[in-house]
Amino acid sequence: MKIIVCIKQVPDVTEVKWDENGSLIRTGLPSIINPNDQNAIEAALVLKEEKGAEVTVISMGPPQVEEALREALAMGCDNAVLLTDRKFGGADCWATAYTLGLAVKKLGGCDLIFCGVEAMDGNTAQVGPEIADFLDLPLLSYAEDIKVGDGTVTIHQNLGDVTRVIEGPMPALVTCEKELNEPRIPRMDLVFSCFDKEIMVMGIDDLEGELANFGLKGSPTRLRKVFSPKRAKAQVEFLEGTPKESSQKLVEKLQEINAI
Amino acid sequence: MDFNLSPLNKLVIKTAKAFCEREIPKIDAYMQEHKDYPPNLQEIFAKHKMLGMDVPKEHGGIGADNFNLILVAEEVGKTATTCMLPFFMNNSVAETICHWGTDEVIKKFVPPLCDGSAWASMAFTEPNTGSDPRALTLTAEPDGDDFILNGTKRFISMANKPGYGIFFAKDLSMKGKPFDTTAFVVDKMTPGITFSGHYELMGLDGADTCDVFFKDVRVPKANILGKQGKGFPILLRWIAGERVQQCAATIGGGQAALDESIKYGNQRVVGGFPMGYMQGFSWMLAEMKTKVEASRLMCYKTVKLQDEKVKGFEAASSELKVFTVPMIQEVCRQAVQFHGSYGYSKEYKVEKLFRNAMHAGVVASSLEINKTIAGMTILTQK
Amino acid sequence: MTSTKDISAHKGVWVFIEQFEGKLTQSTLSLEILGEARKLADKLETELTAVLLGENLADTAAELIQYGADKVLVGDAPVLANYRTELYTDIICKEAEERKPDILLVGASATGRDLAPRISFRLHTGCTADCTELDIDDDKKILVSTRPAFGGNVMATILCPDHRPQMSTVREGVMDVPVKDASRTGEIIILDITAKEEDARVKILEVKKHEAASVNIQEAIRVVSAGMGACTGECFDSLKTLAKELNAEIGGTRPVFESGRIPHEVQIGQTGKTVRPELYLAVGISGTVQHTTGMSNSKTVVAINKDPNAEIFKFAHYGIVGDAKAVVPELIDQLKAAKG
Repeated sequence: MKIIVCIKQVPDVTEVKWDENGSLIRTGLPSIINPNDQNAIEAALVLKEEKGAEVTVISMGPPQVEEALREALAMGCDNAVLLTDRKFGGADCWATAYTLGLAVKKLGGCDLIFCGVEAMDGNTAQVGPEIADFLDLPLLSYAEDIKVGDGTVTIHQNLGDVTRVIEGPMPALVTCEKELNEPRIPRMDLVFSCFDKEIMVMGIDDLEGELANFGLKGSPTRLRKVFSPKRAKAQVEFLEGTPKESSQKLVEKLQEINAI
Repeated sequence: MDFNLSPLNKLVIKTAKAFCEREIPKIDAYMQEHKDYPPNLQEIFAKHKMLGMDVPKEHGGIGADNFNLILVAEEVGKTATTCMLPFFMNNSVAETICHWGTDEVIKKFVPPLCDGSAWASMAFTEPNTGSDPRALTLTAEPDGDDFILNGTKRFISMANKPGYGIFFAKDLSMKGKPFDTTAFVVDKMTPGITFSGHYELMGLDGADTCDVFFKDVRVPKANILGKQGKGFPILLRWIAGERVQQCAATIGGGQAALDESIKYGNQRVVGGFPMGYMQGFSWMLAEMKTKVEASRLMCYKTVKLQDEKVKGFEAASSELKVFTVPMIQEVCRQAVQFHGSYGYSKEYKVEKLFRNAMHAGVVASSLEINKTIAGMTILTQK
Repeated sequence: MTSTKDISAHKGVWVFIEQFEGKLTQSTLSLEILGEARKLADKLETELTAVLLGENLADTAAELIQYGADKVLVGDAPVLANYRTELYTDIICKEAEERKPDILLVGASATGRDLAPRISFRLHTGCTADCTELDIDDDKKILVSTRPAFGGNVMATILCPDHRPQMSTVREGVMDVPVKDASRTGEIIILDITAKEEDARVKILEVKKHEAASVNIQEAIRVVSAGMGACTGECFDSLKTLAKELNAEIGGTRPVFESGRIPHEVQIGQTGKTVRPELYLAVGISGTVQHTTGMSNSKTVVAINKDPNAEIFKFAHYGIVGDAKAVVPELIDQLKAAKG
């Protein structure tokens, strides 16, 4: 069985800091494998252990994404592919899905594609479903449980109000929820040996696609601007005193404005 | 001179950090309650393939260099946990056996130290000697194909756990010879071996350090490590490496003490602004950081000497300890001071870091011994 | 595929309406978007069309007109009763290619996030996910979508200038539910559904409804919200008493949820619910962006935190600097005294 896992390297947004002007400091953030994608890797590795699957991890991004791919190899993945090219830069969800989809085709397809539900920096949750549509694969999204049978894959799909058990024929694409599993830590022996593995690198010339569909040029959406979230216009009125005094003042204020 | 860490180094640190975050809190909770290591601790290490890091590839290990091991040591030191001592001991004892042992000895004792089934120990210290081999009172009397061991060892970590320890004894068959210390690989569950209860220490909470009593314990001749009578160099070589790992972990503790202080300095408001901005406190932070940085760089340089097998590494590791121990102990003391009364309370981390740092001056070769080794080497070098 | 030359031929605002068992789902998400879409359609002086797929939809379709739709495209067939990723995508893409909407909005529910990207890929157009604000650019007459990014730490404004339909998905609790107007009239168009069960490769084996959350925190008029600063000792328990005195629901931040003290249904913030109560009492909450995104539109915000520099005070109308442990019991006493 061949499994391809699509991963994204993201800045660790939980570690974000702000400068004196209230602007986001984006540089110097540690880079990590997107947490949801780690769930996807873990799901693939479980199948590797259970059914002897071969797991290939692919990622699109600048050359430093190699660091994330090494980590995935150290978790136990068999092969790694880096999609990197200046012309891939600035891609939105559509162009990213296009690029990843072409890479999957170039790799000769597979039985299963695992993706995380969403990336912690973009938070769109779109690329997985878009790849499925592009490659005309059955889409099984929001998986909280995955079972692979004879030519079929069955998941518990968390749709919010309901949970469904759905099944599709392989090859298929599954997007993985945080609740699916607990991703493993890289194994120390693989940490050392993963640097001996060669990472396949693919650029725009290796993929058979239309030039106009890659990167910023191929992105239907355009970023107009980025700004800090609006601060509330409220000017806080501090109620001073001991806990008893300040509570008293608060109750009076709330009664005044009919909030209670 | 490249001061950057390699991609491998960075991944080792990331992995160690992830291990610390994932596994250590549970283990620490167990140790706090039971005042001992969880019985499955070695299995946890084995599952992550952390045992055998130090063992050469030709003997089935990862053959990691010591630089990567001290990167792990520093990450671990930041957590203030005690639970990684068995990890380091298993690795260094396995490496020691690989270095000095016959193929037979290696084949017999190294695999169990790497697969999670055995706990390693290193036993030289006795009630009346911590460093003088001539004063050893654990005796080894030849008897056919075996030796009979009698005596006491003190302050031995992981002694009462199943597995193998390297025990240093006065070899009675070498009487009259200039060197009579023989190193034996001993199965700690051999009949005749008993243990005291755990010593309760100032720091390293939960550690299982205890006395080991030998009463007519039979150990095969085949278990001798290295050459008869030439056991002391084995200890010296092991302890030179041990010092560096100890310093790395201690530096990690110092870093954690600094990080706690920075956090506190930014949060604690005194007179309307964060107290770290007061000159006295910002000066303390400057002193603490520079001490940690300098110690770390010296540690990196020293471990490179070890990996490059440079002659004089042993003295360099003594020098490292001479510098690092007082530096980091001072950093931890300053961290307690920085936190005011809170620094004295167990609600904050710094008092634990301070207690842990205090062990480095007296455990695994005292500060004074190291000053002597370093000083004498300086004097006698041409 | 939509080529850039055809843009001018695209007119009208479409909204995909989610249904469950023939009725609008438990959440009001679809109606919220319909209400917002009505405003956009009015600005563009164009028609608003609701797209409704499912089974037994006659009543719901009529309701949608009353909520503001000019047209309702209805795909009513047993095979569509439950959300089907392939069939829904096929039908909507076919209709969109034929009828050429200018804008297509979808709710950012799990269903919507499965459906919308597929449509956008197949139609080769852009989709902006999880928007918190939608508007029309007065000059260019195009959709302007604003959404949080970078884990909620920044806001991004995004356009889809050259592709149609311009798509966006919108989160629940952000927009207002429109008022029903029984006098409104509109057109219901019944689509000819030729799709069969065999056409869907993904089969549904079982559907398990979740227990209706006993609390819909988004409907609460008053909320007492717990941060980790309110979780020491018995402080968290005292919040229950406080909530009772205020006739409020209890919510909390993500760390409090992860500590097991509150269920996910009442977690407030970027990965939880967005609330706009009359009174929001933030107890021991520091005020990270991820949290304040979920409550910043509350009418009156009171914050209690021992750190005078806590971010939450930037979102509060009234603030008490103090340890929640000490303040909450006093507040309970004061409230009791005020009543009796």
